[in-house]
Amino acid sequence: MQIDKTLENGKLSLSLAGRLDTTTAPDLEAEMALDGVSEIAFDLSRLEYISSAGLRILLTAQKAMTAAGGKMTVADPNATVAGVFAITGLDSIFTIVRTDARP
Amino acid sequence: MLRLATQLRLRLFVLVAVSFGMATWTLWKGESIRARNDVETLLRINYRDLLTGFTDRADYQLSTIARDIANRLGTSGKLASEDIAAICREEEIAEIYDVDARGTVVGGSRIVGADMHAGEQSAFFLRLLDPDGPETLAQPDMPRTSDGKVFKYAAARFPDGSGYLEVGWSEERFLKHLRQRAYGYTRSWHIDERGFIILADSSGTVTSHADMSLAGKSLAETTGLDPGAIPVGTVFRATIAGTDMFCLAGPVRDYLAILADPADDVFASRDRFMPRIAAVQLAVFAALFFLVSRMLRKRVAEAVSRTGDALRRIAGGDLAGRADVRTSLEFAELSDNINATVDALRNAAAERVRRIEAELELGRTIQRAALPTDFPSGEGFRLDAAMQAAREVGGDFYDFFRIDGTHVAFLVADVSGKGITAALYMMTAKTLLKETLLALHDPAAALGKANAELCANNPANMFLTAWVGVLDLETGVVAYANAGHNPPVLVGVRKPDGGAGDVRFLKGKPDPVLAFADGIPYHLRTVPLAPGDALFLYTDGVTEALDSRQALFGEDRLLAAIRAVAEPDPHELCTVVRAAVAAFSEGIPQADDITVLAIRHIAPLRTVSRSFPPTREGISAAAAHLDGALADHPALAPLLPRLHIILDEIASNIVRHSGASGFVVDVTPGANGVQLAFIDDGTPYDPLASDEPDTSLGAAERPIGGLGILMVKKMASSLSYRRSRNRNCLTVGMEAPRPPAG
Repeated sequence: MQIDKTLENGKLSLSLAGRLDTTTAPDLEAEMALDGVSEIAFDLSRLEYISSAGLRILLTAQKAMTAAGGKMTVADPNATVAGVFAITGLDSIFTIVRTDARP
Repeated sequence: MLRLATQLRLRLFVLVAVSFGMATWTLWKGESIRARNDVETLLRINYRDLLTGFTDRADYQLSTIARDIANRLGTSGKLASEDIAAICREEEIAEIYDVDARGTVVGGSRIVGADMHAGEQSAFFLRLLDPDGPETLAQPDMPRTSDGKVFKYAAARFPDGSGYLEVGWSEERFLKHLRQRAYGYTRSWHIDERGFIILADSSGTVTSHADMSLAGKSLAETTGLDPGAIPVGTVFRATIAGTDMFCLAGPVRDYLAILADPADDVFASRDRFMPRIAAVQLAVFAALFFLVSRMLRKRVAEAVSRTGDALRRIAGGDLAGRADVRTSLEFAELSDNINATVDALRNAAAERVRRIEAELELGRTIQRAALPTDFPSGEGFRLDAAMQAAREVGGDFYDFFRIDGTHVAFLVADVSGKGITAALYMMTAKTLLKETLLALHDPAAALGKANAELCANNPANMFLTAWVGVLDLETGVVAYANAGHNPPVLVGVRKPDGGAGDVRFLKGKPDPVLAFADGIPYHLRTVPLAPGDALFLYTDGVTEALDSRQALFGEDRLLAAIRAVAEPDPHELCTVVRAAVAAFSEGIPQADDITVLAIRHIAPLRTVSRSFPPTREGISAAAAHLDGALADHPALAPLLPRLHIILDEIASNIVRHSGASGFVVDVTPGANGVQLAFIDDGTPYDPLASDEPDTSLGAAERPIGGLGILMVKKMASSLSYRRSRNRNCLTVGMEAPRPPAG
C-alpha cells in the first residue's frame, strides 16, 4: 500500500492507495502519530479495499479525535470500502465526505 | 295414460249422459204418472156419467108417462072417473095418483084422500104445485112403502096447474126397465178413443159391451178376468181380450160396470211427445257438454299444457325459461312456484359450478406448490423449468435436486389423466422418484424401484411417463433412463469457430411407462455434455399443442424454436419454446399441461488449493494465491475486493488466534461465482457461532473486536462451517451477479 502523508498546522492528511489489510496495516499504524494533531483527513479515493485491521486504525483515530475535540474526515471511499463502512455501521461514526460532485 | 282434457271430457260425458238419462227418465216417469192420473180422472168421470145416465133414463121415461097422462087428463079430478086399472096396464105402471093443488090425493090406485104432505116420500113432489117450479119431477130414491114393496115414482104438473099426476113403477117394472137399459147401454159409449164400458149383471153375464156380440157371454170369458177378483173402486191394469188396459170397476145399481181404456191410448201422448222432448234434451245436454268441455279444455287442459311446455323447455336446459300461465289464481301461483324452483336450481347449479372451479383451483394449487421454483445457482450447472397447467389439472411435473456435492438429478414426468386424482398421484410419484434417486443415485435403478412401488399400490390404475437424468458436475456426463417419455433435445453450445451448435433429439428406444407393469428392467444410458451444452426436456403438452386448424406443434417446430436461441441458456430455452407454443396455438384453449426443463453444463469446477504458514507473510501469499486463481476469470474480477477482505479476516483470525500450524485456502471459481474454503488445524472455532457486534453503538462505546467476522458474514453469499478430522473447515461462497436478461 502506498501512503502519502502531509502534516500541516495540526492537520494530518493521509492519502492511501492500494489495500489496507493485515499485511499493510502496520505501515499505516506507523504514520498515526497524533501529537499536536487536531484534524485528520483521510483520502481513500485510491484505496481498493479495507479489512478489519484497517478499520481498527481508523476507529482508533476517530476516538482519539473525538476525545480531543478534533475532527476527522474520510474522503471518497469506493463502493467496496463504502460497503464495508455500511456493513459495520461505521458510516454513522466516520464523517464521510465526497470531494467531487459526481453522485 | 290419457290426457287431462280427455279424462275431463270422459267424466263430463258420463256426467252429462247420466244427467240426460235421469232428466229423460224423470220426464218419462212424470208423463207416465200424469197419464195415469188422467186416465183415472177420465174413468171416474165416465163412471159418474154412467151412473147418472143409467138411472136418468128411468126418470125421464117415468116422467114422460106422468106428463102424458097429466096432459091427457088435463086437470086434477078427472082421474077418479077413469078406468085406473086400464091406464096402469096400458102404461105398465103400478100406481097412479091425482093430487090436487092442496096436496090431497083426489084419485088414484090407493090412498085416496090422503094428504101428500104426510110422508117424506110423498111430500117430495109437492114442489110441482109451485107454478115457478119444475113441471115434472122424478124421485131418485126407491122408497119402501109400508107394505115393503119398492117403487119408483115420477110426477108431472097438470097443464092448468091444478095439481099434479104421480105415477109409480113397481120394482119389477123398474128392474125390467133397468134390464132393458143395461142391455147395450154402453155399446156406443167410447171412453176417449178406444176405451169402452162393459156392463155385467149380478150373475156375471155381460149385458152391454162395445162389441154386442159378446153380450150374454160371461164376464170371465169376455174379459179374461176373474169376476171374483176384480178390484172395485180403484183403477187397475188388466189385459182384456189381449189388450193392455187401464180399468175402473164400480157398481151401477145391481150391475157391475168395467170401464177400460187401452194403455196405449193412455200413454199415447207421452209416447208421442217424449221422443221429441228427449231429442231436445239431448241437444241441450250435448251443447252443454261441448261448451263445458271446451271451457275445461281452455281453462284447465290448455293452461296445464302450457305450464308443461314451459317446464319441458326449462328441463331441456333452458334455465332462463320461465313459466307464465296466469289464467287463474292457481295457475299464477303454480307459475310463480315453478319459476322460484328454477331460480333455486339455477343458483344451485351455479353453486356447483363454483365448487367445481374451486376444486380445479385446488388441484392447480397442489400441482404448483409441489414443484420447486428455487432454481439453483449451483456450481457447474444452470437450470430452469416451468410447468404451465391446463385448465383442468393434469399430472405433469418436473423436479431437480442435488444428490451429493457433485451430482444433480433432474427429471420431467407426465401422469396420465386429469383432475385431482392425477394431481395427487403426481405428488406421490414425485416424492417416490426423489426418494429412490437419493437412495440409489442410478436413474435406471431408481425407476425400477419406483415402478415396483407404484405398481404395488395403484388403485386408480394411473401410469406415468418419466425421463430422469443425473448430471455429474465434474465430468459433464448425464446418466439417464427413460420410461416412455418424449426424447429430450440435446442443445450444443456454439462452436469455437462461431458456427451454430448441434441441436438434435436424444433418440433411443424408451422403456415402458411407470406403474403399468411390475418387474420391468429399466436401462441406464449416458450422454456427455460438453461445457456449455444443454439438455432440453419437455412433455407432450408441447409437441401435441394444437392450432386453430388442428395441426400439431410437433417435433420440427420444437427444434426450430430451439435453434433460434443463440446460447443454450436454460432460461432462454424455456422462455422461447413456451412463447413459440403460445403463438402457435393462439386462441385455442390449452388442452394439456406444458412442462419444460433445461439444464446446462457449466465449465467443470476447478479448485486451486494451496497451503500457507500461519504468518503475515502467509496471509500475503494467500492473497496473491487468490489473485492468481481468478486471473483466468475476468467475469469474476468485481468480486475480488470483497474476496480479499474475507480472506484477510479469516486468515488473520487463524494466524492470530487458532494456534494452527498452517492453513489451506481453496479457491474455486465458477460461472456462478467463487467459493473459498479455509482449512486449519487450530483450535475449534466456528465463526458463525460468534455474536455480532452491536453496530448501533457510538464510536466511544464501540468495541474494536468482532468486526472482521461481521464483515465476512455480511459479504458472503453463503457461509458454512464444519469441524472434521481435527480441522476447522470454513466455506465461503460469493455469487457472481446474474447476466442481464435478453
